[in-house]
Amino acid sequence: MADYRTVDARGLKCPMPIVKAKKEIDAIPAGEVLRVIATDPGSVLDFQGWVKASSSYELVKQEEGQDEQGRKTFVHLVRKKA
Amino acid sequence: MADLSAPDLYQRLSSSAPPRILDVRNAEEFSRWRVEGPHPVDVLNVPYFEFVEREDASVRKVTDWLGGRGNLVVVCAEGGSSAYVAEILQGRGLPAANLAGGMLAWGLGSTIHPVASAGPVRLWQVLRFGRGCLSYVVAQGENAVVIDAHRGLDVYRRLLETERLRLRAVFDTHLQADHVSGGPALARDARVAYHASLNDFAGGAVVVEDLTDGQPVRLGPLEVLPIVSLGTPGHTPGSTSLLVADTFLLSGDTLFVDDGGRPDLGGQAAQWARDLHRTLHERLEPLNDASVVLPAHASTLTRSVPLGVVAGTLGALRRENEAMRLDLDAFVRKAEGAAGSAPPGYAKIREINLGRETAAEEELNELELGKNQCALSRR
Repeated sequence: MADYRTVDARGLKCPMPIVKAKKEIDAIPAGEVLRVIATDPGSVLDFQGWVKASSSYELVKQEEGQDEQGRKTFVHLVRKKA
Repeated sequence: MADLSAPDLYQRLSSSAPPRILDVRNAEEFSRWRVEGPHPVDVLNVPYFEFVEREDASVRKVTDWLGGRGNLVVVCAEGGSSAYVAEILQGRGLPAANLAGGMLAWGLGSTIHPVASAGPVRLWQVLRFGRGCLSYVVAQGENAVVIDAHRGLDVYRRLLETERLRLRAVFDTHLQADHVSGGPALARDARVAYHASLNDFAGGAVVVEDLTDGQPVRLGPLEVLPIVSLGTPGHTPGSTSLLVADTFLLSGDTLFVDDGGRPDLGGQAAQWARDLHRTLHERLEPLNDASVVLPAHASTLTRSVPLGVVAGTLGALRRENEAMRLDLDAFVRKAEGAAGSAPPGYAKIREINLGRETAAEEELNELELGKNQCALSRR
């Protein structure tokens, strides 16, 4: 978990979680995984659509959680394809 | 280019040169619910994340579709992603406006359409265009009542203030399941009675003044409103139509312009369908063909008559509306065939309207999301 480059998009509404994720994923080496933590429930479908719109990434996992402030979170793991 | 409000967009869509809509939500949200207007709306769905991923190709998709014609309004769920895309398009010289607040604002916005403004009784139709919900303000002198108010109460308060009217009573034609009623809150704030049928509201926690079938509505011993209540069960057991000034039939969800109400939302499709059929034929029988039917929902906005009012004469509906033409057996079969698919939020909305549950603003928006599904043929 700790090894992933992480984008904290909590409290941000669309389009910002994906805009920030795009900026970060462009900067990581191929094969690595980017972890995005969002609180916007709309991000679940949007991340699925975003990886489909590109041939360069794949969605490893999406999971719901809760952060230390008790907010519901949506964590998206996106791998940059080799 | 400035942001456009939801009512401004609806007005523009009603004009002879309506704008085209670029919807930048994901495909799933887009397929569930979209912007509609009195004319067919020319709409393209390109999700905003495609602009994030491939800006040039996405812009080209839009310019190819536009073909240099018309102006463009960009729409998303809450207004953020559409502002982002509108800015990209503006940067490339395209005249793109943004719908402020997105589909959330679209679902809450209303426009006011006068139905009768000359006689002693005045009547306005309030159209919640994004959801197809209709409500009414009726006035005689300075006294006014509001019927089937939705929870965006500002539109009624503004109308009352502009027309210098005093709110004297609030009505709901039935226990709504598709949207949260604004009636109880409007009545409470103005300290007036909330009228509805106890056949729908018995057991609820909302204080209701029962509507008595066939009786004119009274504000006091000497003050009688030009409104007669007619028990018209079927969509719900307590569904009540209001006959205003002997001319306007505020039919609730009993009868729409193109269709009848759904009798299956209470899980007793066959019985309620029989009730509804009896209502449409026996109960409405004494009303003459010139009566103007004003329903609580519009199944489609493209059939609104000139002036933007959703209405039809009872005579025209008797000739053209299938719900009024089917015999009892065919009507019951149709209702049973369509039964069973009430949207998931409807049970909770009913509980809220009965005053037995509450929900925060955000949950209300989620519960009400999408178009109403109260008509028999619409799914």
